Amino acid sequence: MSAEVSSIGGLPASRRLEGIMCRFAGGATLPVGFILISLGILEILARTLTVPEVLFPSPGRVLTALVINAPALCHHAALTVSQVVVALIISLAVGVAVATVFTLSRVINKMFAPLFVVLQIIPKIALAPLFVVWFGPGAMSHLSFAVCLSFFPILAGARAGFEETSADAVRLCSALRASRWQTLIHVKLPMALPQLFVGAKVSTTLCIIGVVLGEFVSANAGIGWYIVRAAALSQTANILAALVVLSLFGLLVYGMVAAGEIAVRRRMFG
Amino acid sequence: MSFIRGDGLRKVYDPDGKAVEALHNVNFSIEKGEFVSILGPSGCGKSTLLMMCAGLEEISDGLLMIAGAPMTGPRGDVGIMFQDPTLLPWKTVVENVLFPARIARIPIEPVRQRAHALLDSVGLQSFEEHRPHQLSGGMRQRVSICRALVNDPSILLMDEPFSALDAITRDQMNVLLLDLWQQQLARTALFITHSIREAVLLSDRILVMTKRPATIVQNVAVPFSRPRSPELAEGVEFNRLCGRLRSMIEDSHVG
Amino acid sequence: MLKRSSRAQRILLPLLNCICIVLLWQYAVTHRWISPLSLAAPFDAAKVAASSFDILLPHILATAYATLLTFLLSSVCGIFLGALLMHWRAFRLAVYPSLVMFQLLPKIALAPLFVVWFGVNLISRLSFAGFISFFPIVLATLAGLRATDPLVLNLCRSMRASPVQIFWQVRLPYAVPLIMSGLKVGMTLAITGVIVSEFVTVQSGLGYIIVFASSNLQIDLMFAALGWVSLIGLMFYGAVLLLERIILMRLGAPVTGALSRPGEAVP
Repeated sequence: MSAEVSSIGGLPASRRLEGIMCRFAGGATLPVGFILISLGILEILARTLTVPEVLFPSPGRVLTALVINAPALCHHAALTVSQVVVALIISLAVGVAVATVFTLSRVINKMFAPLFVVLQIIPKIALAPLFVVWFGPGAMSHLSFAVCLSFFPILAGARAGFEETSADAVRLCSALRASRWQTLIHVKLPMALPQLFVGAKVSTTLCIIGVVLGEFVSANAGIGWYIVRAAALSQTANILAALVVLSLFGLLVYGMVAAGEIAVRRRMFG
Repeated sequence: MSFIRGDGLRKVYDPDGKAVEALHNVNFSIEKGEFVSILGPSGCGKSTLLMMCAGLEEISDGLLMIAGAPMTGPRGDVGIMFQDPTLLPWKTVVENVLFPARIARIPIEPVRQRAHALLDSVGLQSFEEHRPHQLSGGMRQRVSICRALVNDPSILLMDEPFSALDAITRDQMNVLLLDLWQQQLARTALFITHSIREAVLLSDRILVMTKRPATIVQNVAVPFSRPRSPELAEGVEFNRLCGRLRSMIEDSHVG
Repeated sequence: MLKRSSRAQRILLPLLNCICIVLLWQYAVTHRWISPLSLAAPFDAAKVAASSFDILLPHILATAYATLLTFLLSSVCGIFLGALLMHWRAFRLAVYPSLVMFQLLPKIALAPLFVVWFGVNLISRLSFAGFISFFPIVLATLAGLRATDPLVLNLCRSMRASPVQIFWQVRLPYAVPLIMSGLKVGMTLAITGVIVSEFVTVQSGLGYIIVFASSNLQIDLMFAALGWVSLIGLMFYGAVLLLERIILMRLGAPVTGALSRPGEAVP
């Protein structure tokens, strides 16, 4: 009670300092601090405990591995990520095309849409070896597997976007005697873009999973192959270094999609 | 010679087996150049009737004739306004107004002149390049009016266009619509509302509709001469007519 | 003008379509339009599935068991951690960004790492699958618990309800839709994680059978195993949907459509 009374008419100094710190750091100090402290603790633990490096490489060792293998890591990561980007573009094209067909033809929608719903649930991840059987160990099998995994969220996003167009807007188009194609191009497609981007972001993650998993199953290059080889040689630090590089590249792609979303949103909806 | 004529119109919805009769034996006749309001409680099927006139709802039974021809589908000479302005958020105000012309694939330039003139007459000339999200609700409905009028329609259909606005804006919009309509004559208008005062101020005739299964029970002529001014709403005759309509609606409710 | 489709039409059309596709598929492979080394004919795959059922059974059970266990562990831990993060502000501020970061990482790339750590056994499979399926559940639980309508919270505070009461009576019921969507993602990731780890450990389970069959070009066996994987996937996902429906009905909330939200895609 008395503490509250003393704070009336001016915050105590400690509170003011906290306020300044919070505003300055923009709320980032705590999480960043947590990460740095955790890394520090891990480093100390790794050096003091006699845990074999195979199980538990210290952050310092991972950093070393990262620096030493940087050229190889970047080479393989670039290979993988270029496949991811191509897969993403193909998924977008296929997903939007199929969603368009569903929107334009009610019969096809009724015949095929439930099938796609079921296909969406099935763990398509199990198909990775099948794509290797079909296309061999090269990039083609990874690409097609990634497209197979990642085109569903885009299809779902595009369909949801098309269907969510307000009933009044559709009625307006009907009253103006717009053709189905006109309604799609002028109204449904622009309105579907936000949902499409949601699907595209999920799709990016799935493309990465698809390509990397394809490389696990069978490959002779790429970050997935690199990780499998490092695991076979028990080079745990290299595995973690590879993961860091993959994550950075992955975030880059994801960031570009997110940036695209913001740009489109700003241009279209202000 | 009636311009819009309904004979024994019936609308039955069948959501999975249970038939619901929304409209039952609706008869009405609207002359060319008349402004007719349909007044009735919420959910009674007024919008359904309007949608039929727009060609957006199938007629279960009866005959609907427009300009002497039976109604078969959406016509090119109808302007329509909904309760929601339904502006496309990524288009500018003027592009939204031009939307019907683009859909109809007619040459844009002559229509553009008309669009500018319309936006002028509703006071939005300095907002032409704005986006809908930058406008207030009343302003958006004004854009919606311009869009409905841009193709010079012979019929104007309005489904409770001002219900979502606050009372003050609503009054302003009533005055605006009154002015607009009185300037551009020989246009037939069908206006749905559940505000008695709005109906009396704007219309030549008021059709009172009952609850579901809805039918038209009263056909009341509004005796005030045109051009009208907003001060009319403060007069004795006006309020007396409103009172009469109110008791009519209450009676049809009970009955 | 709008036409109304009957319920029968909505079920019959896709069903007939499916049957046609299966028949066409069978015909195409039998008559060598498509090589039997690429696609197994559906009826042949079914025959193999039946004849080698006793060989497949332990692997089917292994995969199913691993999936179930993973899901139970990650959902319990995930929901608990989500609730903890909700109520312990400092912990949340520190940990939440790391959680989001971990969620974005392509964790699938870590499958070999778990093998290095735990060896070629069930533990490494469970821990990997648990690791990847746990994050969406935590994040969804947290999001759900924080999504309570602030007006309702004000009402509770005005009635001087305790935090425990608020949690059980208000926050948790409001959080159910988001928690359920997290569980759906968690379930699909559990299956994914188990199968990927079976690919990598190549020891037991349907993932192992698929890799084994593909390397021996036994396409019939591969498709039989794929069929079983699909069945398990559908069953488990269906179970989560059923759970969602039951809970939502008990809470008296409207039950929306099961799928077609982009965020619930299954890898």
